[in-house]
Amino acid sequence: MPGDAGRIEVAGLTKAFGPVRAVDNLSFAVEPGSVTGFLGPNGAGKTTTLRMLLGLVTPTAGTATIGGRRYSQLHNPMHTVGAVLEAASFHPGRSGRNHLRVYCAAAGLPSRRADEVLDMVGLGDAGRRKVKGYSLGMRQRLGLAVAMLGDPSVLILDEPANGLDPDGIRWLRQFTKALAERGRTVLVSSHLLSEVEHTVDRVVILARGRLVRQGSIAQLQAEAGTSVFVRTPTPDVLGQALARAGAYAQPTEPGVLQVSGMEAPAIGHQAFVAGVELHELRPLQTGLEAIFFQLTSEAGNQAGPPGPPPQPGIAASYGPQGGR
Amino acid sequence: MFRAIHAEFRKLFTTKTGLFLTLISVVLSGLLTVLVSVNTSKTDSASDALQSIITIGTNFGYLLSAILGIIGITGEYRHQTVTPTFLSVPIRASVVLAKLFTYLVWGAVLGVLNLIVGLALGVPLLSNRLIADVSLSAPGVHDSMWSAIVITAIFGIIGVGLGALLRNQVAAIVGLVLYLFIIENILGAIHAVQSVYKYLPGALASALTGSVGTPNDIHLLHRTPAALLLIAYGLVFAAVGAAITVSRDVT
Repeated sequence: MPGDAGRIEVAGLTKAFGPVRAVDNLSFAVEPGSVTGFLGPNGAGKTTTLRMLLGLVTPTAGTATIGGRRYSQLHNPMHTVGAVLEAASFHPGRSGRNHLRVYCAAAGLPSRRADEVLDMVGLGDAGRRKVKGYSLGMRQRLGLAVAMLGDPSVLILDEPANGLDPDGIRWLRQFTKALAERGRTVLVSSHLLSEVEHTVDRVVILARGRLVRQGSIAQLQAEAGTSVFVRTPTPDVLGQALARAGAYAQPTEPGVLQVSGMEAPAIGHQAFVAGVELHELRPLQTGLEAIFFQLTSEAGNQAGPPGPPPQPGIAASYGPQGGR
Repeated sequence: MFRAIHAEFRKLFTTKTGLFLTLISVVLSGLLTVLVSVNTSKTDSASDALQSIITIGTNFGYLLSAILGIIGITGEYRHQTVTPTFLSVPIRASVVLAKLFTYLVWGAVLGVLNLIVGLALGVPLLSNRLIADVSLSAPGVHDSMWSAIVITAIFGIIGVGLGALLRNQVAAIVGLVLYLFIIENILGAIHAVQSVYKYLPGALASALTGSVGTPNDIHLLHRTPAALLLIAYGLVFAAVGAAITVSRDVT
């Protein structure tokens, strides 16, 4: 079954650097034909996990396999997996084309493949120039070209948006989406959910080396729900009214409620019925991001999500009986 | 394995560094040959004069061969190309073996180029100068030629091993130069450790090319044991370099 060749499976993966557990008993799977976001704050252990998956770092415990094999056991690694890890993996004095030809030789591919992938990533004209003259975005594309040499069934990108301009990011999104549609596995790491929110189908969220969530983006979205920002001179009255109507209102600063579980028009209606004056009423787009911050900071026992800390003089939240 | 070697040769030939250092070695060999030739006493034997030429060219040749080996592996860490290298050839021992083979072969090529240039200039110059007949079949000259090639080849391996051990390009090159040109000479001048000196890599190279340019009253090894011991050094450096490269995390 060709599909299984691209399945990534991580089981009980652990890496200790001295007393620090950079990755701690991590288990997750990535299915072929999807774009999976590998998310977590900086230092969560994403890069270490990817490097263990690619055989560059030896795990302290556990396994990471691609199509059931460890990276070092793959017969034709570049045909199976392509990876773009750091932005600068080039000898500055070598041309982009020669850089690719080196890895063509290593993978037993014909040299014309170098020209094909250069065209694929839009570097066809720059191939004969030395890498030291490349912009950061061009280097990123060259890194991607190396990854695509063997036409792999799995593509792994570590923080690919770093250094790409908006055009480059849009291009990369289309590129990864097209790959996934052709049944390839794509794993994209990022420390920002918003960066991959519109590209990924599934997420694996990491904090402090541990798995905190694995699932589809739709699931996470449903959980986040929508949230509406309301400014009113009488938050108490409105909060109670909304709670009675089944919404959940959280006072975030004096005169402000953040409401979830109810759409903006319905909130406006409740305010009208209760005779409450509104100064501002707008849907917030940060629902998913808030969930992400909550997940990743809870795991670390750190201070809560960015946002104002509870202030004295602000009432507790209002919610339907029994909470949400 | 063949693929890994192919990739290493492509790396060597697609930057200026490798060819530039080889050119330096050949040019130095030519210049030193001219200097030695014109300073040779008319009454010298052809054998001694030719061996001097081969030795002086080889002394820089093996240094540059080792530097090429060092750059061949430390460059991967310096430019982080070690990541795509290990991704394309995940059996790291194959990468190290390919590098050892590449720089062994290239060291030998460098040795041959040095000899060709040195002798092409040296033979006519010495023929003009010496009373004796200058011929490559003079005693010891063939042995010197073979030795020169073995030395530059083995030092390529030593360079790869040293580079794998230190990973830092500058530290490895500076360390090598300091060791060969200063530390080993100091050791050779200290009476208490003179018995050890002849077993050191630089002294072995001197023993192999003929004893020109080494401190007096030091007895160097004979050619065959010197060659074997130098090869042993190469193997030890290669093994240590390979073991470290295979086990170390690439972060």
